[in-house]
Amino acid sequence: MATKKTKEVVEEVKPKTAKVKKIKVEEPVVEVKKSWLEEARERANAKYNK
Amino acid sequence: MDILNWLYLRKEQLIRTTANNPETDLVAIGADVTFAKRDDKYKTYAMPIKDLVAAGSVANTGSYELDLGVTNVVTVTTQKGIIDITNITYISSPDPAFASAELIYINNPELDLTVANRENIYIQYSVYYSPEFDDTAIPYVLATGVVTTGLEFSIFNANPSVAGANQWFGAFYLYYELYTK
Repeated sequence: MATKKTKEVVEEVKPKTAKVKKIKVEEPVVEVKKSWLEEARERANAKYNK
Repeated sequence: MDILNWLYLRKEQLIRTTANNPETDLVAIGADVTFAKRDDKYKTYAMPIKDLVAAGSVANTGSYELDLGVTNVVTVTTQKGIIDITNITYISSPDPAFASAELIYINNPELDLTVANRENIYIQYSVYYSPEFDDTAIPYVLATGVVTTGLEFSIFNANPSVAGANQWFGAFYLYYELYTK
């Protein structure tokens, strides 16, 4: 009786390397806007607390 | 006239929460009239309840001036008052149409005007402004905080019109009522 020989084939699977596209991400500049009250306080301090 | 006797008043249920007639009910008062009159220097007289309350209110009203050319803090000593705000032209703004504010402070050193006591501070105020000719300013005053120098008020100009030659030269008064619980 013939026996089938099984052959173990180990294929080396190379992981596909995804191409990384470099994108320049500019960080948004968060402008801290003072309230009208803060501005008024600064102005008052400058004027009266010399 | 009955001699004042607390036991009698209680017994006869004469302790009331409303006046019988505030226009005629009298309250006895001792007036300080110098030692020449009596040994204890007090002379007794009476006032109707209505007048008594009004007289006390008037006595608790003071007049103050806040010269913005010198300071922006007015120190008060009475529960109510009239603050004459002068020299507002010394400050460059407030600009038209609520664009900016100028700050003033009302301080009463006898009161606890701290942030921790904010919920016990009672304040009422109203504004008088009579503009000069060629003066487009319309003051709008907003209470904006409790700070170390007292209660802070922001003065805006509500009018969007361009400032006139006599901008802020009008008569400017702030009336207030201030006390703490």
